[in-house]
Amino acid sequence: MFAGLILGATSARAQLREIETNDLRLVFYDTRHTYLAPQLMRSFESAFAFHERLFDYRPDGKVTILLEDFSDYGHGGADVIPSNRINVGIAPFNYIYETIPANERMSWIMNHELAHVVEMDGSRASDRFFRRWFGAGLFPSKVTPNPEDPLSMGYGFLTTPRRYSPRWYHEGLAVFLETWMSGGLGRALGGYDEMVFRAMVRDGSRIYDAVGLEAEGSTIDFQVGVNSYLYGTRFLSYLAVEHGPQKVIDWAARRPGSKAYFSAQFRQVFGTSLEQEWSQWIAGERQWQNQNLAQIRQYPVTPLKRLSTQALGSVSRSFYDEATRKIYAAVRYPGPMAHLAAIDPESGAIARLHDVEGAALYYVTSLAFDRAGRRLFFTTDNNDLRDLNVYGLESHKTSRLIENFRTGDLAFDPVSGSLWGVRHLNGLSIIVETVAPYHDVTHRFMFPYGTDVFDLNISPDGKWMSGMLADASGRQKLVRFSLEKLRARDGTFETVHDFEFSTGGGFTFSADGSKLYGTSYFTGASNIFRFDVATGAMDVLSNAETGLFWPIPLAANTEGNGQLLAYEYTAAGFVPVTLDSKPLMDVNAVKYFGQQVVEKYPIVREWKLPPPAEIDMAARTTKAGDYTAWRNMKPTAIYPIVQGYKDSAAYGARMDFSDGLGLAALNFTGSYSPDAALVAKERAHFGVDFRNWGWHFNAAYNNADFYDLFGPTKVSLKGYTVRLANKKNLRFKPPRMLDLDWSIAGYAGLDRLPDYQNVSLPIDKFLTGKISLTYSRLERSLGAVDDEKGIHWQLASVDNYANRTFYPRVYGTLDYGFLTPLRNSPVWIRSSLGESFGDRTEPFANFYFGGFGNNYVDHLATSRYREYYSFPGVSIDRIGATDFAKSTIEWSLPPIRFSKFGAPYLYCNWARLTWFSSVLAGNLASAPDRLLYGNAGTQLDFRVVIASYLNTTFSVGYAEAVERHGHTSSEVMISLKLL
Amino acid sequence: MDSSKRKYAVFVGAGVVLAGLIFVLASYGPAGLKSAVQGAIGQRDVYRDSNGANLADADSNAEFAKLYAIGQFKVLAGDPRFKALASNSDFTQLLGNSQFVSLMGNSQVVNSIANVAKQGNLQGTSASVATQVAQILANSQFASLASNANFQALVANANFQASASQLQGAVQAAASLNNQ
Repeated sequence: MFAGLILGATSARAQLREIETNDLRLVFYDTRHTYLAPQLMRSFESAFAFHERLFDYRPDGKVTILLEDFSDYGHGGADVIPSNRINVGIAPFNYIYETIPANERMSWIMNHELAHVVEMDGSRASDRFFRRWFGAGLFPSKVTPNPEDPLSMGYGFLTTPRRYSPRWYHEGLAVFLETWMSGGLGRALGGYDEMVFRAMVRDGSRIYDAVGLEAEGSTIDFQVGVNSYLYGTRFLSYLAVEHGPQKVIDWAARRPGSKAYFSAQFRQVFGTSLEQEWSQWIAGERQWQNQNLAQIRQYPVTPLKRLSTQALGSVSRSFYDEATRKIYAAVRYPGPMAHLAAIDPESGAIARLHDVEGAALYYVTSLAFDRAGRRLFFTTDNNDLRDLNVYGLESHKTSRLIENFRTGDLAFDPVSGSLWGVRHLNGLSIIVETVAPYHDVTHRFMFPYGTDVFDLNISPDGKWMSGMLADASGRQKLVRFSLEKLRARDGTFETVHDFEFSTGGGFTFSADGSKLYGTSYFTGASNIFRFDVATGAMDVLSNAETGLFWPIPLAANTEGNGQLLAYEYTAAGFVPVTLDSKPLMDVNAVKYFGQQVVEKYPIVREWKLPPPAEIDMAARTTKAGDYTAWRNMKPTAIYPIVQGYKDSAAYGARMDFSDGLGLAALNFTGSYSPDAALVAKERAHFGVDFRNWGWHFNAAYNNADFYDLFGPTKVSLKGYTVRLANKKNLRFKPPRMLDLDWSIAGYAGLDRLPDYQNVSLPIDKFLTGKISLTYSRLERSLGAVDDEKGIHWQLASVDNYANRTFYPRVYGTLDYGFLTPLRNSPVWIRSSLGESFGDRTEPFANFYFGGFGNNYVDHLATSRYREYYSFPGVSIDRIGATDFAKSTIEWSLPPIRFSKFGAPYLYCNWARLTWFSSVLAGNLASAPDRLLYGNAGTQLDFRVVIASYLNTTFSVGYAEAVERHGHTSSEVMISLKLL
Repeated sequence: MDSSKRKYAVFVGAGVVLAGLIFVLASYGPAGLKSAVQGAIGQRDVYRDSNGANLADADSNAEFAKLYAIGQFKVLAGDPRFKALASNSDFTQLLGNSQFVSLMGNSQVVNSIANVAKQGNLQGTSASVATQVAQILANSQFASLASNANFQALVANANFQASASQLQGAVQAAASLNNQ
């Protein structure tokens, strides 16, 4: 993952450098990021020491941290295999809806990510025994499950058992700790979390059990994976309230006597099953939220008029267009791709204007409306480096204005016609302006690190810009900037209101610019507030049961009040509503569940970390210099393997090496087949595989493969193989990717073609070269189990050289897919063409087709029928042709999800049925040799998850094929794909 | 009215005025001095105990450069060639020489020394060597230092020649530590 990110995000191989302490190796590639390093290093030292004490944790190596700026919002990620590592995205966070706290983020990320590292890497004596065992007693080893040698799945569990726990457990624990380590600034005490469960109870929606959450709950609604964070945090807070925070730590810590699997340890600590306790939490949650709802209802709840019968999932800032009486917003809900929408407030009808590529989870896109110009400005690639686009409301055309704009929170100035926004660059927030024709960006004011501004809005007179300002303490203010001053690089502002530690948001000016309407969690629920800009006087305009967001004042009446358009949070997502804009005098506060933890167990106050500024990093720094991936490779595991060679089993061992970032990896395999049926020189098998950045070298002697033990497809290969390959990202702009791949390989001592197992060779050695250009732009809607929309093409040339003869072949593929109105149900049309320039009687000069291609046990793609060389219904390699044209149409039915089909350690989460039909014509240039085949088939896939993290897919398929003369054949496929 | 009663009345009067002033300020003052909320609006009761700002700022890069130099120095200190050099009395005396410390902070000079040493080891007499030497000689700090006997002995030391490029970072680190 790290290698891919670095390779993709940097135009050339970056010069990495490192700085180390006893426990930390910090790697960076850009000196513009190093101003953050001292703060990050201190935060690491502080958080690591805390976790060591809390969990009785003993590290057996450094934690490698990569400092990166690969996307426009901050993020973090951690893993512990084969070594402990974290990546830190340095950009400011997205504070929308109080889904994340605003306090200093290097400390926050370290508190959270190191919780992952420590709880996953924690080891007791038995784990350490296996770590020594799989390190041959020479080094501590944490085995990485490797699809090529799936026995490593079991070895992986033996060395790091707690890694194989569900996501809600990992994230719940990290959020729980992050909150108390930051003095309460965390999601366990967050307004959004509280609202989500209050809405579930009010709306009578399902609160999933532990298995159902991972199997269905974290994929089915608009929040997808965030549900793991929400549920996990809530459940752990419940445990802390009921049993004390120390019990939570006892559950997570891998101390002597603890159980390996997380649910077994749960029973040991709490004396009951996870399922029983989870049920009690749900019952308690309903009771808690009903009390909160009763508290809110003690005063009249604001009447809301829903404008749509359908919840819109996530919504962007929206605009009411008086000219067309439509609401313009970007929405993202299960079913279609995220899109710009025009909502009719009278009928609730939603017109889809244009899809938003790379939509964000909560804000979908940054949207700005130019009323006079009749156009919407919006951002794409919101999860990476954002681009600026414009959509014409009259022309219905879209064009990209600025690539890698890196700017959001857009606000349009109706007076000057310029577009303002907040750019995130090198970890800093910068107010920027772009003027027509919107191709250049001017930096107006850069805030110091830790101060971030968001949710901009510009007054109708074009003089003022409002925004929310967060500082590193986590405090937030509603402020007002002068555009004139900003244009003079003066970022001074007036504070309209200090929200202290409550997130405000979505503030927008009234038509006369005298008031600002927005929302805040001041009362605990997100309600609408109105501020008089001149005096700061605040009115509360709503008493919402769940939460209201993104208010827009509509026409005001004579008292200055009128109607407001807003979005109500429901269990299914946001729903547009209107309400009266009338000040309220009485609104009760709601209580936060997490608050009970600190009230009942004040010890969590002691978990707050002291300011890290006191840590003397000069004394702790141990090393600095260049970081070269291959020079930092270390042995990570040695373990026994079983392989298949032709029809025989082979037994041997594998040894892995890797650097701390996963940029370079090396492995050796060796095995021996005791089968007397094999000639002596085919019994030994060796392989070496080395990867460094985009380079890949591998060599083998009598190549063996685990999956040759099962089923019809064989990749084991007699003789010698040496191969060198390179991959270069010509364009890395997810989801748009253009890759150039080339490889050259030499073979000797062969008895069949490497890619065509059933084609024997008249010679025993040859060279082959391949070069390909591949483009893909693939997208998925919420809840997808596979790519659902887009285009993928490849142009390739595979050229063989044997017996002093050159056999060039070229082929191309083109896949195009689109979503049907059914949810997660795409149709794909896959076409391919190929031409070989050699003699039809030569094996090297032919393309071969046939079969599903799946083995009984497999690790390659499940839907192998999509490959240009497969042809289900006909046996493998049965069809040979020197030129071909093939087309396949494929329709995947909506997947069926299972919410109660298994236990935490083994469950099935979905099944999907696919229909396909192909036509293949071959030898088109020669009428007598011309081939024509057709087939139709189906495949049913079941996704099964083992130990929370190990995805396996059980597939069954059936296809019938017919050739031009009417001869028919059929094929049944059964396959279990591991990892 | 006796003085004690007058004093009492003044205190009471002042108290009333003060209370009135507080009331007026609380009622009509700027938003920052009061809760700006109208009516009985409940505020959420949530534990917050922020550390405040412990931040990276413009000086952080300078601090990082210092930490980086310290890291490089510690790498160098573990190098056996440097350990041999460190035991050299000429070197230890030179470390106390401010001219030497300043000179070693000059990358051009250090690179020139390293190049001359390297090419000298190869026994080459190329034009590039002459250029490097000219650069060193043109440096006024070097001219002053060149007369130092310790320095003359040190330059002839093979360990110094091998460690010259690494030494730059070490000396910078040592200098920065001294400045703390």
